[in-house]
Formats: sequence, C-alpha cells, structure tokens
Amino acid sequence: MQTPVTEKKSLVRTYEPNSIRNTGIHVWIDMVSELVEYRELIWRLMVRDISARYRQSVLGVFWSFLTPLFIMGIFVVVKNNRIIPIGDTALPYPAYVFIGQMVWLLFSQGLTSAANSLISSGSLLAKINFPKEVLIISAIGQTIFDFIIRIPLLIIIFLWVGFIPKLTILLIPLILMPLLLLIFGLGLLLAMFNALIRDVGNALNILLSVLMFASPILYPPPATWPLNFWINDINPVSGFLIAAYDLIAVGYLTNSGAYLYAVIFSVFMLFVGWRIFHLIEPKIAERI
Amino acid sequence: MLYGVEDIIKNVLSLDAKETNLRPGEFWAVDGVSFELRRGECIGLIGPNGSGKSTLLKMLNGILMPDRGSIEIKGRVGALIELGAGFHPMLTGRENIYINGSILGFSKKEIEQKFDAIVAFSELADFIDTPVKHYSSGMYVRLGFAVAAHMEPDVLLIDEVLAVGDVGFRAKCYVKIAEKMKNCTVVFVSHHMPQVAKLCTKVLVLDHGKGLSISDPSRGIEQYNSLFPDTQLTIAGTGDAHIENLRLLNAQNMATDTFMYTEGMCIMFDVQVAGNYEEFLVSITFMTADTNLIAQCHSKYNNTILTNSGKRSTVSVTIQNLTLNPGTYYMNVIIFDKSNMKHLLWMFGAKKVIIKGDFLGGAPIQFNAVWKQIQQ
Repeated sequence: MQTPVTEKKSLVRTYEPNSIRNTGIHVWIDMVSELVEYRELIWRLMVRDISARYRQSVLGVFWSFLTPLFIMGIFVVVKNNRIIPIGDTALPYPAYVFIGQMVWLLFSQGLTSAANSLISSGSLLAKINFPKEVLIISAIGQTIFDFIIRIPLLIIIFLWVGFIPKLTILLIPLILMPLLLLIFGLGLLLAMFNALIRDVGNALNILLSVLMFASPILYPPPATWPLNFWINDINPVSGFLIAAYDLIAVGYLTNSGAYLYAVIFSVFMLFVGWRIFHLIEPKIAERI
Repeated sequence: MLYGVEDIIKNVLSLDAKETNLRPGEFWAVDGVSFELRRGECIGLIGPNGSGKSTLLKMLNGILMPDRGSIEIKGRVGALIELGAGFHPMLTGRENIYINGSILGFSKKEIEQKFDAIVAFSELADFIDTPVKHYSSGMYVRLGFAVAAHMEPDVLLIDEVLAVGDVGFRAKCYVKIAEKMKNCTVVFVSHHMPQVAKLCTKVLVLDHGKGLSISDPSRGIEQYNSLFPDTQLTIAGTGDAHIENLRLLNAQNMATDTFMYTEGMCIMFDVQVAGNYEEFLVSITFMTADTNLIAQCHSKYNNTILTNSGKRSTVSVTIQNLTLNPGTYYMNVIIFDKSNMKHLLWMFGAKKVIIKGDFLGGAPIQFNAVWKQIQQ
C-alpha cells in the first residue's frame, strides 16, 4: 500500500533554513501527498483514541447522545411553556434542535479536540518526525465518529415526531464536506496557536459558547434586519445550518447566498490555515 | 513564547528569519558542526549534558530546522529516540504494536509481516493481549524497542535508549543494533563510553554546541573525559585517622601522577590513627572519571597487618604491574578499623592517576597476559 522502500531509497532530503518556504502548486501537492502517505497513521490514532475512550466506560457511546438530548429536552420544555418565545421552525422543533446540535457539536467539538491535539500528544511531537496535521485530522475524526453514531438517534427522533425528510437529505454531504474543511482549517490554526499560547484554548471555549447562541440552532434563522445579517450571513456556521434544515425540510436552499459564502469562507480558511501550519510546523516542535 | 509568535509572523510574511543574529536570551544549541557519513559507518556523538547532542539528532531527524547551514540525507531515516511512541496505556500490547508501528512509518502490511518477529523479540507473547498499563516499565520499553528494532532504515539515529531493560535484554538490543549497522549509517548518542568505543567507527565531541573534533573513538573519548573538571577531594569518616604526604612514585622513585601501562606504582603516605585502635586496615580503590569503581587493593585481602600505637607511621603500597587501560582515573584511600566496618577516614578522589599507553582498550582493566601460538 505504501511507497515501496526501493523508491524511498533514492530520496535525498535536504534540511536548510527556510527550505519550507517554497511557493506554488507543488507545495500543495507535497502537503496533500504527505497526508495520503500517512493515512494509515491517521486511522490508527483515531481508532486508538476512540477505543481507549470506550474501553473502561459502561455507558460507552451513550455519552455521545446525552449532550444533544439534554439540550433538546431543555429547549423543548422552554418552548412549549413559552418561557422564551421561539418562532416556528421549518421542521418539528425537537428534530430541529437535534439536527442543529449535531451540526454544531461536529463543529465545536471538532475545533476543541483539534485545538488540544498538539499539546496532548506530548513527546510524540518533539521526538518523532511525521506530518503533525495527522494529529489534528485524527482528533477531528473522533468527532466525525460521534456525529455518525448520533444518526440512528436522529432517525428515532424523526419517527417519534412523525417527520418524513425530503429526499434532498441525501445531499447533506455537500454541507458536511465544506464544514469539515472549515473545521480542519480553523483547527490547524487553533492547534498551532494553542501549542504556543495556552490562552487560545480558554478563549476558544468562551468564543464557542457565544457563537452557539449566535447561530440558528435553538431558534429559527431570524428574518429581520439587522439580526438576519449578523446571524445568518456573517456567521459561516449558520450558512451550513440553514442549508441543512433546508435540505431536510424544504427541498431547496432558501438562503443559497449564505451557503455559498460559507463554502468560500471554508475553502479560504483551509488554504490559509494549512499553509501557515505547514510553514510553522518545525517551530512548533521547538517551542512546545 | 513571544519569539515563537515573532517567528511565525516572519515566516508567514516570508520576511527574512533570523540568520545570524541572536535575540536576547537565545544561544546557538549547535554551531559549526560538519560531518559526512557513509553506509556502514557509525558516528558517536558525545559531550556533556546540554552540549547539543539531542538537538543535532532532532535536526537530522527533520523535527527541527537548522537556522543556518544545511543537512543532506539520502534514504529513509529511522529514529530510536523515543521508545513506545504513541502507546496508549488502556490498549493492549497487540494494538499498541500497530499504533507504534504506524508512527514509525510501517504500513499495515509490514506490521502484519513483522508482528510475530516483534512479539518474539520482546519476549512478551504471554502478555500481548494485556493492556500496557499493567506492564512494568521494563516490559513497556521492551515492547517499544522490539517494534523500533524492526525498522529497516538507511540512516539510523539512536539516542541513549539502550540503557533500559535487564542485562539480558540489553545484550540482545546490542546484537540487534550491530546487525542493523551493517546495512545502514548510524548516528549514536550516548554517555556510556564503552558502548561508544564498541559500536562507533568515529566520534564527534560536542561541547556547548561547538564541534570540538571528529576523530577515532579512542581519541574522541579521551577528549570527552578531559572536558570534565577533576574530581574534588572529599574527606569523610569518623576523624580518628589522618593522612599526610600522600604521593605516587614511579619506577624511578619520582613523585608523579602519570604512569605507563604495566609500569610499577608505589603509593606512600604518612598515617596517624587514634591510640585506642590496635590495628587498622587500608583500602585503596581506583575509579574511572565517571566514578565507577574498577580496582582495589586492600591490606587485609593482601594479608598485611598494620599495627597502631597512636604514633605516626609511613605506609607504602607497591603495585608491581599497573594494568589499567590508558586514561584518567581517580584513587580513593579508606582507613578502616580492624572489623573492616568503621570508616576512620575516607578520602574520595585523593589522587588523580593518568595511565599512558600506545593503545586504548574497551575495558578498564587490560590484563598483561602471556600469549602463545603453537603452529600445527
């Protein structure tokens, strides 16, 4: 599966100051092929962390269900008792909150575990030579795993509220793929800065809780100015959230502008984050 | 921390990074070190703590980038720097072999092929399905070494990891490394000079980041030993005995600290022991620069009775054939009471002894044997 040893033997490596500063398309080809070469390791580390997490736990995967279920439960009570007036949503409210939570948790837990991935890897970082992106991807991989095991629960909720999703639900990967790119791009930056300055990790937690309430997860996307601009259009996660609700409940995109913006933003973050990370990689081992 | 941020910004903006200028508080961890190494050669990096050995190794491994100069490496690099990298305590030995293997760059197929050999080498077949958190630290390291030992690199970097495990396993590690050395280039970092003398074809001595010399192992090790200050004289014991005029005499009866290999040595000193001791014993021990005891002569073991009346006397101890390996040693003098239990005087590092010779052996004692060959 891997490059044969004979091919590697002819390889001459040169380490020089600024040798990683090359520009152009071949840098990106190198970066991608490096990751492809290390896909085995990404998978191993991901499986390692997932199986270690469940090895000594009785409730096991149920822990992944609890957060979204609790949030859903609380807000269903809040809405039904009109403690906070929450407008009508495109699909039954419990399903709406649960979908929102699934997407949001993918984003927030992905970022959090990516941000901690470098510092928690310990001596691995300073002593073994491998592309450090591997650690971030495998950390994000764990939250993808969590996302996947929540799917059966979502189906149960659909059955419970008697909701039949539109066929366009099959297009959901078009939302998840760019969202994952966004998580990867931001995760690289966060992991790197968190390794240098630990304040980043703390700041991230606060920022994420603010961002959660600034995203249409617990309430429908606002329709009036200026809230609709700030919440629906500027926040890239909203673009994906709204598109997800649309694909599941409406069948077409009601706010394709926000979705398009989110996709472009994500791709941009991926390029910026990955490039900076790659440039800084040797410095991280120095400074951690 | 702020330098890190500064470096990031400079790198991202493609500004010229620090070339030769050091910012306050910075220093060159490795500077002005050049060497070339071919397949089948092994270079030993030796030097005091903090001399830049590990930093150099990390640069060779591609973890750190040099700020000036360049490193060119042909072939696959394998590092025996961290044993058991990525081991997770909750997972079994079997699972951890796969994880560690992937980290070291094995493909799944390679690990599967080598799995049995790895387990056999580690001698942990009975515990392979036990979570490694239940392993002893020795077992843990054995498993780590077993995986690492099955790499097939062109360039092998080794950082002192061999100082682990029990005697039997350590010997096994040596054999494995010697085996690997045939097919690859080895960079070996160690503080254990006999290892260096045994494995390396040349030696680079580092001190404060500067490369002092590249030479054959014997000369390199000599230079390494000369980097350390002389062992300070330390006096302990009950204080019931005193020594004065401690001197070493050579065959010509001259006081000196330098002797030729197999030359005779006479140790003389004036001793005064408190009157309530009827007899006393003298032990003279020799130790290497790193304070390992290697030789001893003891009045009791040599069937000599030293009597005491409380008055000063002169003791001379003659060693006819000094068969220490050329190098620097320190002598300790200890005076015991008759029971050989109570230290009346303990002079640690009482004298420095330099042995000269036209060879440098791998062991501290070099017997001067009589050799014969009978032609058939």
